[in-house]
Amino acid sequence: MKIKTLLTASAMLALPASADVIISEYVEGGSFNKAVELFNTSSNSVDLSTYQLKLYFNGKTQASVIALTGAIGAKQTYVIAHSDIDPAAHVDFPTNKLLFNGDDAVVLENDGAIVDSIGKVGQDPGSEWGNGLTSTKDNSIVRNANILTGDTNPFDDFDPAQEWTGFAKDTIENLGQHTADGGSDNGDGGDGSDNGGGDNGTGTGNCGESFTAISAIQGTGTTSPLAGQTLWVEGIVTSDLQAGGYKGFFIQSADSEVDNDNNSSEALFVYHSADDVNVGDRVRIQAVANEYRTLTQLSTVSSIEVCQSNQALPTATVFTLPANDTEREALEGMRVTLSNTVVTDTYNYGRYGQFSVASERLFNPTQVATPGAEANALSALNKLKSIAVDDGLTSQNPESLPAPAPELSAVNSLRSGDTIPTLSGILSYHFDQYVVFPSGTVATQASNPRTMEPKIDVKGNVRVASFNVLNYFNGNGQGGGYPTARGAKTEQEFIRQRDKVIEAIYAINADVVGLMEIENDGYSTTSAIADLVNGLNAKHNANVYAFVAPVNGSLGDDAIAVGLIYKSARVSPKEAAKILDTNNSPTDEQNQPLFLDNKNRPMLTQVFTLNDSEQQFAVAVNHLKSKGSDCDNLNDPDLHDGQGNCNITRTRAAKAIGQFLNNELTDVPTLVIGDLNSYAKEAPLTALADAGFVNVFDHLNKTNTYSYIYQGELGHLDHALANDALKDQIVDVTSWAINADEPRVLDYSMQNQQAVHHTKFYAPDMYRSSDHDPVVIELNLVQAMFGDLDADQDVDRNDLDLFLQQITAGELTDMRFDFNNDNTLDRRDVRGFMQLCTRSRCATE
Amino acid sequence: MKYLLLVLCFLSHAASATLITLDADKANYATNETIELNINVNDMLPDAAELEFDIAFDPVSIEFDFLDIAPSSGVFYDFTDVNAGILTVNLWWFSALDVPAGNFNLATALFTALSDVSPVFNVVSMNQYDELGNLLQPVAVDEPWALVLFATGLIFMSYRRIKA
Repeated sequence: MKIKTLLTASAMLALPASADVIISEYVEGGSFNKAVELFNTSSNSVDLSTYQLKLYFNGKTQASVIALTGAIGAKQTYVIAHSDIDPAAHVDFPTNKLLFNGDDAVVLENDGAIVDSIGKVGQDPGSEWGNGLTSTKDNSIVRNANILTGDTNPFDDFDPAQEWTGFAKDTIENLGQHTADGGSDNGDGGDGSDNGGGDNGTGTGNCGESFTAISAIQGTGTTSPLAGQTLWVEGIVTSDLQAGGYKGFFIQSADSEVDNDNNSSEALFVYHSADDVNVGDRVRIQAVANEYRTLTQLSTVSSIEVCQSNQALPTATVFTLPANDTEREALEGMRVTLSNTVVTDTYNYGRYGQFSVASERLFNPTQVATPGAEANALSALNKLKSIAVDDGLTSQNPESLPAPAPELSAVNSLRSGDTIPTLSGILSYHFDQYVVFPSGTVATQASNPRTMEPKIDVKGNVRVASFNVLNYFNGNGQGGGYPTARGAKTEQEFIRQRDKVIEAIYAINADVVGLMEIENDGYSTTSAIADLVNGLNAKHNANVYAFVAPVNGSLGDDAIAVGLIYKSARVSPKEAAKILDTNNSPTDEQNQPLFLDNKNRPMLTQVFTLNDSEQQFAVAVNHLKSKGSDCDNLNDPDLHDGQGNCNITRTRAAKAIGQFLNNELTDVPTLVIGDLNSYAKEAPLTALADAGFVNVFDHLNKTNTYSYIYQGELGHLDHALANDALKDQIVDVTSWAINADEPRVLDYSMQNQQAVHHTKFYAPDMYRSSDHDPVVIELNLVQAMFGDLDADQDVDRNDLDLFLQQITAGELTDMRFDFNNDNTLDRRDVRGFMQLCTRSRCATE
Repeated sequence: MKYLLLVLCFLSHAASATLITLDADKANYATNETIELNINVNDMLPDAAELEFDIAFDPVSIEFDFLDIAPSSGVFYDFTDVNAGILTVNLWWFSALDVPAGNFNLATALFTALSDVSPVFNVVSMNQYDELGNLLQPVAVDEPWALVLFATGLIFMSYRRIKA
């Protein structure tokens, strides 16, 4: 081994080195937070196609090689990062090959020549090189500004303290920009006098002397016409984000200093936190103008002076949605005011302190528009209507979330659909999107308040619900078995989840509940579905609910399954449940099964009988393949028509469902429920409509409903569909908005949370018990009416006509119609039939 | 004698029952001509709420087309000519109170002449029922006498034509 190491070392050292590019930052954090930043110290662009990053794991001398592509501009950075790094990180070259954990050497080569290195090839240091913050494990280390050449000997001892400055674990804010003596990633530097003449400012730092107008730096395009130049600038500080991770502040020209061009912004972000400033300060700055991820900013501040304090802030500009990028760019960095916005997306509010607002609630395109061009056009329009609102902090999982005031909590939620009459702040561009940094408290209105129970206006005699229970996994059912495959990570998390789900189902108070995403672990006393039923019955203090167990004791082999629970005093299963899977699926023209149970969860169908009337109805529970992962192996890719991945797989399953139910349950009032992972206008719903299953929401004219929010867009993934025998016996339907509208941070999970969050953001109530809203369907199953031959719930002249036709044709054999008891069904019984009429003189409706 | 024959033929057209009278719009019809037969009712029994009767006709010379019931409200009715030469009509009033009092036009039956014809219609069966479906007092129908008169007229006319 030693000989081999020496040979390898000799070969490597024999090659010449290049001094143009160095490793300027190394991030070794949690999860996949791994990154290596390169910095071009030269004044010329460097082609990276000849560069390779080599990783030597655990003292090995054979490397894992990452071939680089692209180019790195003069004084610019280039970040190679793991593909799943924190999305807030600046990344130029994502790769899933960038894996190291502190004891692995990293070597940068150009065309075989060693350019720079971290660690010592051939040595396993145990866990890390260095110590404390300045080490290669669980830290981020940034090359000191005076280091302009790389460590071209990867076999010598390595101590990061010599050339590096350490930062805490998961510090990613420095990625994408680097300060080096003699230059930075923000330009050539310069001393100001280079740009002191003419339009670009003066060479002195005296307040009030000439300076470059901010609007001139912004220009009217997407990038600054003065990028790379060192300039003198004056402006009023309008927002101070120096302490929150953004490490800077916004300045805006005073009202008297603006140009008359609405296409050029009057404000800038100043990347500088070394000197404290306050909102209202008029500051004079010498710094380099540049574009940082398309945000025009000043950085590498060489001089800053507060000229005056407590200045009146520039007037806020009215910003109206929808707005395109050009319109937004023209206001970049400026104070703006938005009126009458509505909260549309809180999914990542807890993680990044960011939520979205829009000019109105936005529907998922394929919920309301035909997939394809129409849906894509709506998608584009939706984007113009929304914008993010950021808390001004780059840290993840902030301790406090400021909206709604005083702060978000389990009992003070920020729900999608809530409104903000007036939103004032700074319009900026960060992390690849336009955002508003609010000025002061965001005054929200609870326009979409929580409700304690589903709103059912018309009561029937049977209630059915469909509920995706967000991976309800109960470990081994005996208090252990955590973390589970898809659900709770700990028993404590499961208890939190269980309490929420039980509260929700208890409040729904349905006679039959179809479940999705319940652990597929059978039907024993330790199973997840038994646990859920036990919990519900404990809540009721009685054995109210029971569950349906398939005869063969299993339902496919996925980690999750659908399920059915029911109130045994109200309904009874009739015969064995029916299962649709690949084995018994209807087939296509090529005799191939339409339903694939390795993608879709097998469908569970149960016919129930109402205990007090013996009326029958069937409930078929579904959970079709999601849009998230691809079905490329089935030649079923995302066609970018709005329907996402696996649309063919879902559509074929829907056809199978329709055929199966029509064959197996002819004339039985049947309700198809579940998470079809398809919005209302998508092909699977069309296939079910073609099979005779009507969308109950449409049938009852329930508009603007939804069960799920994805990226701020509303839609129904969860459905209720009825066949012809049932549709007119459904009297009401609702999607109970207890989950989709709620911030994800209010769910049971304790992951990515600080200790203070565990109580602040959690309550054992039904809100955010899942990511899907339950769908509640109210049936009024009507007893078959004697004499109602046309089955329209009355007996009238039309039935009289049918009666006469049938007795004339000899088709009627039910001797209950022999009203005159002459053992013959004939016209002499018409008079008796008339007595059945539900309205005077057998009038029709 | 000729006048006697005409009277006999007329009588055979004009009346067949005491309750129901049939009145064709004219005596003779050319081929394909529409025959309009008014069906009139004379004083139904007070408790009657249902009327059932059969009208006989010659299916060789005429064809039944349609029956238009005059009192369209308060009554449910049906008619059929499923048996050749017999038009069966049923009327069920929802209440005896709905039955028109006195004499009234019940219906108009339309036929088509299949040849040049002087059609003959006879009520050959008739019943009335009360609201409970009970058969009320049967009404005598002088069908045999009408047939005898009609046959006699035809025989005499044939005899006179041969003799001439």
